[in-house]
Amino acid sequence: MSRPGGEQGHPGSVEIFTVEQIAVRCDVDAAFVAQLVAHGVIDSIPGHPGRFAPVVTLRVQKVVRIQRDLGVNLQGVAVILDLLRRIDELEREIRLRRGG
Amino acid sequence: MSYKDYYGVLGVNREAGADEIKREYRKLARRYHPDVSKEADAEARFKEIGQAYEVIGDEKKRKLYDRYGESWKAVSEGRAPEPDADSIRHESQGEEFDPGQFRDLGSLFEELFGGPRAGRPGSRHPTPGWREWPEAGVDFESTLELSLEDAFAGDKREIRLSSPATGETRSYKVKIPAGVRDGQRIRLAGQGGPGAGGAQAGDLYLRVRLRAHLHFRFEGPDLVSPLPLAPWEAALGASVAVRTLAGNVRIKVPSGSSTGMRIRLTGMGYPDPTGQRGDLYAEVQVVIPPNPTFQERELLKQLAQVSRFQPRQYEEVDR
Repeated sequence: MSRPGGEQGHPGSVEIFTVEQIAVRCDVDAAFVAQLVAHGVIDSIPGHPGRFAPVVTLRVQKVVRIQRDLGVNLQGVAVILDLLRRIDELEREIRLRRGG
Repeated sequence: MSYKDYYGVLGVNREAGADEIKREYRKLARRYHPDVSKEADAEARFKEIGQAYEVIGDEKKRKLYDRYGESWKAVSEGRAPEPDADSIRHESQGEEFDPGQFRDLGSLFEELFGGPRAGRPGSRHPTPGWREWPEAGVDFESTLELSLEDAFAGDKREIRLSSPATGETRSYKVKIPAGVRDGQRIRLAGQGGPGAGGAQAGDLYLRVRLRAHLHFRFEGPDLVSPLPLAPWEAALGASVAVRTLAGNVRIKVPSGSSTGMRIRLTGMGYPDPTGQRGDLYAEVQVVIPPNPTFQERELLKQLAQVSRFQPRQYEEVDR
């Protein structure tokens, strides 16, 4: 199987997880992981449905914590994560454009 | 243990109603949630806020806290077995101290935390028939700041990180892949939180953060680097050295290059996700000699007299 691209991997990262493996690693039900996929909170590796980059576990754990600690539903968590990603992108753009 | 003013932590006064406390708690929890917040001390603040709310957000515990301050918990725990409860309460209220009572208190604690406690249902101590479930370790995430040069070239280094949970400091060997990009995560498999009951440990992710560079800046996938030129170099063209991340390269500046014009150096920028190097743009900056010599001044004056060049394309009307 090919290496995950984009933000999900880096040269040398070849490990790939299934829904079940993510569920075990994050102490959640496989059905919950499937729900996250359906909501677009986590994405499978492009061209490989049901296969995920390891970094996805970080995101799943984040979702669980935000839900538990702040009492947000899944759609709300999805919005939060999207906004956080957007903020990250903007901050990065500013930082790297600033230069010297 | 330091005394925590739970009201101060939540920013409410002692007369605040339950609704207000809940409202302020929710606001602060949203603001300092470690997965959401950008503040450096978010984790510690979030914990503190949670602790404060656990106490003053609960009517019973709040009453105890209001009355006994920081020792509220010891008081509430000592209250549990009825016969001895009074002796503790008296002591806490600062009433007459009786050494005899103190001895009772000692035996009470022994009773509480010694033998009987271990087998009590709900305690963390394993009891017969109670099985420990495997629980996977959590993933950790931290930031790794890199200079553009180090990220470009790749590196092996040892970094020290302290766990926000335990405060323990550990060092990790990290291999930074050449061409790692800002925001990318380097995964150290199995270096996250330990698993329980034979389950797998979590991973540690280091999120790369590239420091702003004095000379290069990003524009989308491309790198841009200023290229200072003397007026005559810009006007007549020249062969000049341009800095790239992989050392200097010599390029031909075409004649008639004005400030802001860009010269593309294909494949001399930063690697893209597939490892292919992007482009570098050298951006012309015409620089005027700050202290021209007499001769330079004379030549410029001559140029001014001879030239018909109109740099401004709009009509100039003096008022």
